[in-house]
Amino acid sequence: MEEVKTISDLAQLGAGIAIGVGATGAGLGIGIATKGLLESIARQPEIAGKAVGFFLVGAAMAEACAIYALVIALKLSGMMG
Amino acid sequence: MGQLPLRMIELKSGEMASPTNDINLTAGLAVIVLIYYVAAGIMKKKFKFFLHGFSLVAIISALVEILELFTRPLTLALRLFGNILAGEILITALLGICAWGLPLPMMFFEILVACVQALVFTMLTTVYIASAVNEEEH
Repeated sequence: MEEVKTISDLAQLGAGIAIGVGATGAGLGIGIATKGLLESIARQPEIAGKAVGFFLVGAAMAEACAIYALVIALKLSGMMG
Repeated sequence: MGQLPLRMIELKSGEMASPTNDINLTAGLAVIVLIYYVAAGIMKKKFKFFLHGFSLVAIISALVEILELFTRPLTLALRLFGNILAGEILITALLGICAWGLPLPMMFFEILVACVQALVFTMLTTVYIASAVNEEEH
């Protein structure tokens, strides 16, 4: 193990923590959204087409939170700008 | 755009990537949306767009709305930019793992992601314009 020398080494660690915690929240969100979708389709199978559309939009919204974490992580690790 | 084969068009520098891979484009789109919905609100409600009433709740909600003025375009820009950028990074990483097989299904998946993100962008734009134009009932 080489020792941590500069602040940018710690920034790499922070990037890892950022994307890890952010992805946890988004994963929970998409999981709950999928649970709701399956429950609603099981209750009313004729609504499936409409529900999937709403689910895709909601999943994209939940995923966007992980994407913010990704942008911050890229910023921290110096891969972007 | 990013789904085209990379070697099809020769560029002097850089490579073919999606235009929304650059944050300047998405930030420009978000600023257009911001100007549009603020202008729509002013044209509909004149000066009352900024003024809701005088009470403690109104002051707190005004602070929240000032915050929203910044966070709405920021999230709008970052969402589109980050999704496309994540796709490009993922395809690049898969190119390193198994260049002849893996990136192709991910490119099709990125087409789906791009369509969903375009839908989300337009839906959020309409929601913002509607919330600016609509008079809230007290």
